[in-house]
Amino acid sequence: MKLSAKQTISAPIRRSRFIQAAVVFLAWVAVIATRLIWLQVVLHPKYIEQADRQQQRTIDVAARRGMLYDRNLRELAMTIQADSIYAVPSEISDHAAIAQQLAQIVHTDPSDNFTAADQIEARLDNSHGFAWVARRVDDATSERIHALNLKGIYYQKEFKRTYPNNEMAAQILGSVGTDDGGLLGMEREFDGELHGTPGRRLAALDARRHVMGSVERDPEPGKNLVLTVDANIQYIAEHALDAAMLRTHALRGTVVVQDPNSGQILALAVRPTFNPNDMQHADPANLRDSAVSDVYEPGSVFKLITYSAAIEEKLTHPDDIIDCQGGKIDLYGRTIHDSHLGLGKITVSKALWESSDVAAVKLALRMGDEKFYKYIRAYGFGDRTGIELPAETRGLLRPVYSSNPKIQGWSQTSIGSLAIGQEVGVTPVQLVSMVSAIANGGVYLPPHILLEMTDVEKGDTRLQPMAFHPAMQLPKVLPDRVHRVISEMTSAEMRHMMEGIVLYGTGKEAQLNGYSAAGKTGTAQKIDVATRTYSKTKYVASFAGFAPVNNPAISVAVIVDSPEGNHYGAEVSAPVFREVAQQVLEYLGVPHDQPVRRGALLASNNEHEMDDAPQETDRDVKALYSAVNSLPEDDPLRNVASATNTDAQTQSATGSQPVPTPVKAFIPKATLAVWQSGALIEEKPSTAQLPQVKIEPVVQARSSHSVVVDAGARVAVPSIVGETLREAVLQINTAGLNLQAIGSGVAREQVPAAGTMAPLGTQVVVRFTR
Amino acid sequence: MAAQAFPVNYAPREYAPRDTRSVKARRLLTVVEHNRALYEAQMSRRRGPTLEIPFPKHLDNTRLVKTSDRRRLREMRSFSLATFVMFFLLAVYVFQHFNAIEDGYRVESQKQQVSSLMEANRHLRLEQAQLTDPDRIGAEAQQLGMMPPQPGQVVQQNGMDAAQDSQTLAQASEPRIGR
Repeated sequence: MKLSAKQTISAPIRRSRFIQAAVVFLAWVAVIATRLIWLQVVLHPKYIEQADRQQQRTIDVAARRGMLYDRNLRELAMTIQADSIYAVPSEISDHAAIAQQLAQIVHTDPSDNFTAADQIEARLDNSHGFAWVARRVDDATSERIHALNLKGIYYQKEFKRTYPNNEMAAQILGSVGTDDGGLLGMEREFDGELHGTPGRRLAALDARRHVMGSVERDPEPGKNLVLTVDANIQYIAEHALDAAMLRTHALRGTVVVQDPNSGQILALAVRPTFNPNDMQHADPANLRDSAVSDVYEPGSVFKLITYSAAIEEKLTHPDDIIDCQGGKIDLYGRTIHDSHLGLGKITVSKALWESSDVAAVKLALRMGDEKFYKYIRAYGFGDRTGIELPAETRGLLRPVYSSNPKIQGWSQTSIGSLAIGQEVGVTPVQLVSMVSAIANGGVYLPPHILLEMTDVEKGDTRLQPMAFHPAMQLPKVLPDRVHRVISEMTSAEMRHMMEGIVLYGTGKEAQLNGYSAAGKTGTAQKIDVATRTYSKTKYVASFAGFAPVNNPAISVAVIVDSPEGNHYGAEVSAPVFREVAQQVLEYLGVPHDQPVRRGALLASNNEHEMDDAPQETDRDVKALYSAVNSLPEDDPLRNVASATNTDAQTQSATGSQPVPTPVKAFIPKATLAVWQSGALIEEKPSTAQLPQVKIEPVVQARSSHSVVVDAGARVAVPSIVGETLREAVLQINTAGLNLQAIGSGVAREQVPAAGTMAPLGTQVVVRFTR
Repeated sequence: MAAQAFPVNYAPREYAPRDTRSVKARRLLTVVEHNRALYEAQMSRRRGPTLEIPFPKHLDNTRLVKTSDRRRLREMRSFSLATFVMFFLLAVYVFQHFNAIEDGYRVESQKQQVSSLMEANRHLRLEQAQLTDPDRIGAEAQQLGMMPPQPGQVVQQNGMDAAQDSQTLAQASEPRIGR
């Protein structure tokens, strides 16, 4: 019998058993469903949040700070990413050893305590999860730390503000703090625009914490600023000013170059200065932008206003004869002298060439107080120019009449003082704007330093360089706040008279080779705080002019504060004008309007016309002090005064004589301490010095009348300045010396100086900065 | 009889022990034989003593005709189509999902690449700016013994037109001055 393979034995299922099984299964399903509902519905928000926390990470993304360009789109300030090094102390067993190892690499600057070994160790000991080692280190340092492959050491990218040209235009650009906030200059003035808006990034992570995808709210980078400054013109101005500072040992110097037809500032050089890349070594006294925040008495340069106003009012003509009364005039009991005694009846032009004070006073008197005051204001004095730089002062100019008892109005002799540039405080930028108004045909153009604010960076076709080409005429449509001060005819006559000053008068040192030039010299006394009178030893030498005469391409103002030796504007500032104007005009390709003298780079006039010496009077400076009271609360001169109040309190506590508050407004803050201590001579601002390396001379005399001759080998110290670290190491080692490097970047200073014969193995200290 | 009912595959000849086989194989065959004996004993007990005689019965199904159920067919087709579409969509979704994850990794990687290239570009621009620093170039030129050019020695192609430098003391029209 064959058994079928498909044969099955089946029995009927009992209903009760089926129901029991179904109930069991249903219960099981119900339990699972309940649990799922509990998890998926009731606890849904909680687990979503937990999952997000586990799988997603929110990262705040800092916005990149905007760039600063010059008008040719040369980078003046830019932000790059740099490594910051931090440690997780709990992952490090031997804090002291690691700190020592790290400090050997990151502690390049002895004055930087943050990266010292003991400080790093202290931070490691005081924290469990996080401690900074060094912030924003350069690539080379970061690579060296990476190469150590230390446990517990990590890296984070941070933005670093860099100024590729170091000190160049430092007062214009300013600097930023560690939190990326603008502190000075344009960085401060446009901090909001440059800073941008931080973004946020929501990143989804996988099990290995790798980013799978991200939803971003991109940070909005800060706006980029294009300045009117031309880096090459800025370099020319700074280079000439540096040479003048070296020659005259002056306390301060300022050079401003402006386009007279647009009011754009092409260069603004201030000395002494600072390196915004190396703020740790910057002297706080050098951070002030003297071009807009400090005032000085202009002296004879101010006569340009007197003469132009008188001509405009038809009260005189350049060819009219004016009696200089032998160089002396009595004004309500006060005698004003000319520096050139014996000047009699001469033309008005010649009176200006010779810088006659008497003629200026007489012309001012013809106008009267109110008319003269109107012209002073029309030229922009006594008001902020509106230049896009922080802490601009409006200068010191008293109103003719004042109802405020704190503010002194003009006295009977004030018009005489103002006519020759006394009893008034002006900024270099105000001065150059006044000269530009005369140069461009009589229209006052407020100075500007910001050309464009844009979202795009260099390389984008929408942003093109705007090289400066002298327009030689005013633009068709002029911006707001522009107004005519004098007529075209008066302007032309003034240009001609000012050319005479350079050709025949006090400004011969300003003569150019191949170009006509016009300008006015000025020498003003500084205020002697001790006697509350004008100093007889300290002067401010200035020169303000333009070139070429007929179609001025540039206006230049040069102010040198407290030069030693020759202190006249003709001898101190005019040569700086000549050097700057000559080079800038050649650089701009302005055609020569005069025959070029071959063989001599620049003409030097040995025959010096006696300069316009300032009035030697015994008047006090109360009138000028009272003008400080009229300044607005946010004026930097007031700020200096209020800042120094604290110093005065300290002084009074120590028993020394406090300096009157208004006087302090005229004094650079750095010199206050010296002035308060009773010394009359201002101290030069100190700069951070490199440690001195002592080199024993080859022959040394001993007290026992013997002579010790060092027979050891000596080598000449090579010149390292301008070299990179690698190149410096190579040169120093080749010479058989040792290098102690401070900072990073390019070598700026070295001790001992190049050429010094030093014994083999001598340590050469070199400061590197970027 | 019992041997006939047994499947052909279980023919004894197949399981006959051979000398050439291993001891393990021989033991396995003994177990199979033992099981077969037990099975035959069970079958004979179930049959009892009577003989079983098979009677063939002829069934004629030729008259039965399979008719096509169109409605059912349509339903089946619809169901098949729906199932196919559903699985296709599911496959597409799964494909897209995994593709999206891969794309996410790729996009992140490329974003980082773009970012690092832009940063490298900025570093290069910085280096360029440092190298073209007029101060540095001036110092280098001085070291090489170079001097500033004499006035008129440099003629710039893009310099100003000499005609512009003509004598102009007055303008035909005064510029509009904004207030």
